[in-house]
Amino acid sequence: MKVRRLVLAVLMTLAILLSSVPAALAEDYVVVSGDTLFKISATYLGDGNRYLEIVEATNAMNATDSSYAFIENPDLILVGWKLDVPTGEAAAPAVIVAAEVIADTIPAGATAACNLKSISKVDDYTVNLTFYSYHAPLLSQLATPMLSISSPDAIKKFGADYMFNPVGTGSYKFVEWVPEDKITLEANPDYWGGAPDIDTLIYRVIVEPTARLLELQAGTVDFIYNIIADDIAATEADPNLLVYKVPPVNIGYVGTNLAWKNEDGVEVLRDVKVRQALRHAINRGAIVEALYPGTGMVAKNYIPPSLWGYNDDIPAYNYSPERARELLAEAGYPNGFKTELWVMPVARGYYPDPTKVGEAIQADLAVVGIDAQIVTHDWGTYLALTRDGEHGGLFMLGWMPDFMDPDNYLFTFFGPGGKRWDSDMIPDETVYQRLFQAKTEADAVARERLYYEANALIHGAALGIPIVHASEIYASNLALIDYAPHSMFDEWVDWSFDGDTMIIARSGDAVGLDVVDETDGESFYIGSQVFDSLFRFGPTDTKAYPALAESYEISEDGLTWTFHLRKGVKFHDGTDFNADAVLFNLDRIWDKDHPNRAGNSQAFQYWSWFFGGFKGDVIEE
Amino acid sequence: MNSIRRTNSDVSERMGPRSSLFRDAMRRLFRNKLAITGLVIMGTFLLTAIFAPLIAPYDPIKQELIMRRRPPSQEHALGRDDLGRDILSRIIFGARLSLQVGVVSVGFAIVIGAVIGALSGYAGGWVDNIVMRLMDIMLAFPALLLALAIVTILGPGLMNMLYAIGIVSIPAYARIVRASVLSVKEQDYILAARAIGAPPSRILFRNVFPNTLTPLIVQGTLGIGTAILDAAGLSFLGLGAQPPRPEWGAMLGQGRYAVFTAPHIVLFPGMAIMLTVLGFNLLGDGLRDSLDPKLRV
Repeated sequence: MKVRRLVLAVLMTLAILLSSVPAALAEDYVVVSGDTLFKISATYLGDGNRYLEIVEATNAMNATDSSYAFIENPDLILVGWKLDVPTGEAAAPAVIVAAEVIADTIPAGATAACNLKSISKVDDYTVNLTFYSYHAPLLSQLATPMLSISSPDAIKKFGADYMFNPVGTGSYKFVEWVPEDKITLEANPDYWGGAPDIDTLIYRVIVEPTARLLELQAGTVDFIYNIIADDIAATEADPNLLVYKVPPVNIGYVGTNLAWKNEDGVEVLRDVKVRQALRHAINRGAIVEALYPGTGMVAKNYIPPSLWGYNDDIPAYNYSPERARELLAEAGYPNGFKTELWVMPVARGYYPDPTKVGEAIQADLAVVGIDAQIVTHDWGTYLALTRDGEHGGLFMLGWMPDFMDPDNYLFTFFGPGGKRWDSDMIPDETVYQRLFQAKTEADAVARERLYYEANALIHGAALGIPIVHASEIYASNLALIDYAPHSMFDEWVDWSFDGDTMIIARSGDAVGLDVVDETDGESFYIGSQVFDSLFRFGPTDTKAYPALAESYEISEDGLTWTFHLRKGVKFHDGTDFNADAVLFNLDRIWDKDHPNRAGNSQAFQYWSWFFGGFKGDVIEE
Repeated sequence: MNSIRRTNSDVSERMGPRSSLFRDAMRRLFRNKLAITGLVIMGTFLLTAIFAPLIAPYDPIKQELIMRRRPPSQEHALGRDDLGRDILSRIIFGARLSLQVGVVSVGFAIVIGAVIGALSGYAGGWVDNIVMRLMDIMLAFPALLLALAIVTILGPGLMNMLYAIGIVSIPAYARIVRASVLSVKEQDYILAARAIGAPPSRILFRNVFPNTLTPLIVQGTLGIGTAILDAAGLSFLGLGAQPPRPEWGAMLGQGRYAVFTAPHIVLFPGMAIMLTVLGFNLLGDGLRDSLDPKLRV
């Protein structure tokens, strides 16, 4: 099954109005040696006898603009004179009036890849989203920063630089970004949810976990993310610090790139036996016990045990180098093979020290004869290369959920078009079908069943190796009041702080702040403060609560969702938030030909993860 | 006729005291306590590197995750690292890598640098001018920064790191050789060699070049120390030896999170780097003092 990206130039139902007011079109002409008005008229107007029109037009122009000549005698023109040659009436430039309905553009008879069928404006504060089939995770998706609403004016004004100048409606306004150093945000006093308690937020980049902890102890930062497990004891013992533990909802995994070829041009990992051997070869229990003391649990599915759809009934791949060797021999690699293990350059909650986990995996693989060379790149390059399928056989990555739904994990990893896993080529197509089906299934029990089965199928096909679900550990000084970490993205408007400026240390810099086109967590942490989405998650739970949308209803057939927008909300640049803004924001992602599709990579990966594709994309049977 | 005889007698007179000059130098070297210390350290380092598989009590890349971060004990004299590997064995095998880095990169730099310096000095004129200005440009960059740039272009890895350190060390040797060549190329015996029709290549390599050996030995010894230090720096940044190779700088880099909680993980590789570099520096200084008495104060 392959998805072909089909873009139709004609926007079928887009309302395009052609202005019918005729505008006279004219050309300037400068007289050169040998010209006569008859000759000019013959050349430009197609008829030498129409020369009087040039005289009239030029004299008319001369009345207001003296750079044009005044022709007294049509038989006498001089070299260098500027004439106005009325070349005729032309069609006026097309004026595109804001569409009331923006619809998908797939040809008749084709199946759309993107579940979204149309977006329409009912009135200034009411928007309808219509889907081809019931879209189960919609509310949660609309609560993520990946579908946040930007100021249309700012997007148009900044163009490609919008990713450095984000303008939203959020509780904090963007002030300044010093790359690899800090991002400064200031409170938005007019925030619709009430002004934040903390006046200024400064996000500092401190790469080393030890350095983050030292700065917190020294009092130069107030809050730090991602403490490594080995430092927890010392941090907890410090009476001036508070330690927070996030429930383990993330997943750290080693992916298998099925399209990777070894030096003989063989797609080694295409063979399910090889992938099963990998699962038997890696001693996940030992790795988690040693490197995640008290913070991690061995992963069996790609979703955490606390989430519905988790499949605990599948038999785990036990650690058995012998079995791995047998499987490799059956697959035709009795002496193993050479591959690359890509190791993330940045620390994340699921991999607080990726190199160390990588080395442990490398050692386990060496035992069964697999020679995995460790490869790393800077973070942006790493994400881009793995996204485009230009990586080695094995790659370490992980996932922090954006909303608590198996769709957010599984469809993202194994959904269509992914080159990271070569997921279009997933050996068992039924995985793919179930993920699609579950996206559009209205019945919660049936959805759970589908994910339960999908987990078992992924397990059977041994796609990659899920390694760990880890608790992230944060710490702050005593000035932060009653804080509890959010399992998605913290929003500081929810908390109080004893002081005006709170300095937060994170391990990496944001990639870009037009966050709808990012996949990087650091960017979303900033985006969550600057932007609002139609909904938001609660401070300590993952239910979707009203934000820019005050309420919603679903049509009888379950296909059309009507959202009533909050009135009186203004973007940080003073422009109004309304239905037009929502339509503009969604359409500029949905429509691959949208003139304001700035973003960063223009990949808008989250949109296709959420909805399956873009406007006009069809599924080719 | 006259001048040739004089040159011959010059040479024969030299042959005699020459061996005693060497003995002199050695005597001076062995009287220098610091130099002896350096020699002992270097000897230990060399023996460790050569006989690493015999000396090391454990496999340097064998992990035992459950035993990670164990402090020094009877079985593991220097303790275990973050992945439960024996630190002593890793340091012993690390000596091999450091020796490799030192010898290969400095050897590379000496060969290329000497050829460049000798040709440039002997040719003189615009060739000399251009080549030496190029060397000046290279010297204008901090060595480690230039090496970093080269490794970034070539990609991380042990061999690329060797090239990078080798390349940035070239100018030092080129200048030394050129200086020696300039100082001897107008000497009478060179004129004589030219007069009897010796080709420039023979003059350069048989008559001129031996004069540059003394400063090259001194600079080379010091240079190995610097090269080891640079390699440790690059590996610390993850640009040199790749895991699981037990490179000292990489051990420091990978153990840095443990600096407060399990300091032995970074302490011992750090000491190994320090001692080795110190050894080469002491020996280099001693060699300079003894081989070139004129430099003595």
